[in-house]
Amino acid sequence: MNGSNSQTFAQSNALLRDKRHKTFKIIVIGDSSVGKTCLTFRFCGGHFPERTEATIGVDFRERKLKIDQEEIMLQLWDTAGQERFRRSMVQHYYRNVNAVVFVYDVTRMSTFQSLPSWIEECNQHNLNYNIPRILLGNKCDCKGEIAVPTNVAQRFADHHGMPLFETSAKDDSDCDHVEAIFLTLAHKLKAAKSMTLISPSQFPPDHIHRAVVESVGRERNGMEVNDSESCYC
Amino acid sequence: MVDVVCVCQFVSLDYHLVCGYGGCVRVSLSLCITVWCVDIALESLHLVLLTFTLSTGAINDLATHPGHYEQAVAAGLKRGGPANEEIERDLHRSLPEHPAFQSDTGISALRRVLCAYAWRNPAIGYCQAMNIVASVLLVYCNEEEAFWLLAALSERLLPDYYNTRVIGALVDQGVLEDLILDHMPGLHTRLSELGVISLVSLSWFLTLFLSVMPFEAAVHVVDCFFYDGARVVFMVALAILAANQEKLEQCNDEGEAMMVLSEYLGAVTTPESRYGRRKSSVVVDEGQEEEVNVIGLLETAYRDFGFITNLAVERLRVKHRLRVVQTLEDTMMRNTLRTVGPDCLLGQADLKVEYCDSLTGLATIHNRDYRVYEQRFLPTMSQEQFINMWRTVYSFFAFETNQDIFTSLSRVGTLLLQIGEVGRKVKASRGSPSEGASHSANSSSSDGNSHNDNLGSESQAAALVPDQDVPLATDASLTTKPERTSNLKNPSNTSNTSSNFTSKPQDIPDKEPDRHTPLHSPSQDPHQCQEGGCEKCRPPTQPYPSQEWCISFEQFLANVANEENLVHFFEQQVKVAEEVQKLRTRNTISQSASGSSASSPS
Repeated sequence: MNGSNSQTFAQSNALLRDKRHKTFKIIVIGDSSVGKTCLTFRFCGGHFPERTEATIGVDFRERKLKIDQEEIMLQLWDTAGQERFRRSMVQHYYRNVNAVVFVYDVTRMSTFQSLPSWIEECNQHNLNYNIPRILLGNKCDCKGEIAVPTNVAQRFADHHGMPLFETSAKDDSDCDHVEAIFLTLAHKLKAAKSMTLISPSQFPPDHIHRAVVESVGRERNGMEVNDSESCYC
Repeated sequence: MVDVVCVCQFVSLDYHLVCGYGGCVRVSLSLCITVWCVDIALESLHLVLLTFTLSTGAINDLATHPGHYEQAVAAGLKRGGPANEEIERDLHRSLPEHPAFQSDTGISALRRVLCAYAWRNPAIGYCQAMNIVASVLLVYCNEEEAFWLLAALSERLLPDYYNTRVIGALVDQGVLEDLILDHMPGLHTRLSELGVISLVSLSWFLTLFLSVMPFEAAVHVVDCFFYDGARVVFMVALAILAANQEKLEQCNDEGEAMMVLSEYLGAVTTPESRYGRRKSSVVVDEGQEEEVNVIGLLETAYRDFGFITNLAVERLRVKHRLRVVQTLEDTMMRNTLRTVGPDCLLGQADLKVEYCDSLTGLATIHNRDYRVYEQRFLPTMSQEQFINMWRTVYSFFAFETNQDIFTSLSRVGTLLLQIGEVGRKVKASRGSPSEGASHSANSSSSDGNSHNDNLGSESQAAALVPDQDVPLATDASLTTKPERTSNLKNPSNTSNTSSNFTSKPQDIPDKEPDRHTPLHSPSQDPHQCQEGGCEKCRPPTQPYPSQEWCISFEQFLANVANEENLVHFFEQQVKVAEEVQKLRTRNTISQSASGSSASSPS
């Protein structure tokens, strides 16, 4: 499946690839079977894949978009979620990443609970805070089984300075559209990129604000739990 | 499919009979490792079972463990737990295009095999990629055989591939990079610029190409792998890269390179393919791609890279293994600090956590074969590191009420300090063999204690034997040392230590122990100690002890293992996962709690 999925896109895109396109690399991370493959597939392939194989290592999909009369390429890197891969492998995937998408499964609390460690993981790779990050709750079509209440997720997202989207790769008729989410991200990326082109030291103000909030939060947290003099900021 | 299974079972029966002579048959078969023979073998029939019986030894396991599989299935299914949950989620994500895994028959067979294996080998449990391998095996053999093959794969053929940190696959990644560098230097430069190898090779190795090629083609590779060992994977990998060399060299980013490779791999086929290429759920532009015959690929692999031997692979593995483990340890240290840092009970003990972590980590992750090897090559620990680590060890026992543990701890600590000192003296005496030894004896005789002579002769003796024996020599003296120590000038040493720590186990602050305990005093005020003349019971009292003082992991392990209380403590079944989960839950809650408060302006 890995092979054939990307292969298809390779056929449609690789040959047509225009070297002048701005390319943005987006890494999609989250626990195993939260639907990372389906989400990326939904966006790049246009529909929900009926049968997917567990992702081993990393998979890759891309899609060309036209934003403000300019064509850009979004590369979605779909990673393996199992913990043993995370600890050993994911470091390779963070090279030149332009945005991070955290995914959890709204029907499984545990996938939400492991988000802090994914965020930690991400922080470790010295990604700047100005790199857009978004939080995606997937499978919200399973209405009866929702285990992660929106307000809890929203609070978490606020705390980490990320926008939250709840969606479903399968049926996004009455939640946030997968398409719209990634397009938003693409807009943000493009805007950020052109800003950095003008002046590399300029970051969008909201990002600076976010960075401050985040570090304050961590410090606070450290104080609360630890009540020692050490601070890990 | 039926006929394949029948023939395979016939073959398996046949070779079941000759399994005793496996060696001989293997030898004669190994003559066939030539391009044409592989070709013939592959054209005729998948030899999965044949080679499985011979090379993997799986059939021996099968024959010698009747009923083991049934037992494993029963226990595995009943057990539950995270591994089973993971398996359950992946059942429908294993070879989903194959009709066998679209009905309950195949799914439950796969469930049984994976759960049984997770039960058999809790060190591995379940690793994604095993589901894909197992599902393909199930297409070609029965459940029990698939089970034993999976066991042979994960325990012998792909050492450490599926363990909790997929170390084996990482090691082989390094091996592959080396091989590319040696045989395709031009491509290597490009590939490492792109960082592609680490991206693609994991799935190649972990699933033996089953997840990247159409499985009917990939089983040919698996056949050869069972038949001819690990070198096949590397040969095929190199052949794939060589075939795409030109395209890869023109790639501008890693995405493009990934596409080139997956495009190529997706088009690998086999003449007798029944299911065609793996149907992807995307629109497939059929026929646009040039198909690659897997037999041709294997021929190229054998022709162009057949000179790669298993021995060479093994050598490279050894080389990379150390690097991989080291890197992982480093990452883990950083992780531990960052993740655990803010909400860690140990608080300030950051550096020490790291060290302990790496030690315990190393002790647990390595399988038997590598264990001895790695211990020997682990870097030794300096005195400062040791002292830091030992402090942390004490904080492990923060809530411990058993006094004996602290007695044991202080005993081990003292012994290790002494061992380090002895080692230092040995090294000193080696600089000027006869003089050094006598000097150490002389200097220590200022105590006027018979014990000193003991040590002096010890170091002399140790100086004569090679490195590895040093721990043994000192070890021998260990059993008697504690008593001696207490007979010496500082009889309160051990009791001091334990009482210090037991009296305030909860708050072991940074500085306090330093003042009281002999363990820490050396680094703090070595001069004072020296004047005190208590060299023997406070061995590391030289002005610059940390330069030479060192202990090895073996010494550490031996000493800890010598203390029954400690062994018991560490072997106690603690549900780590639960504890961690508790901590995490608390973390999440407190984070979301503080999240609301943090959003208010600071």
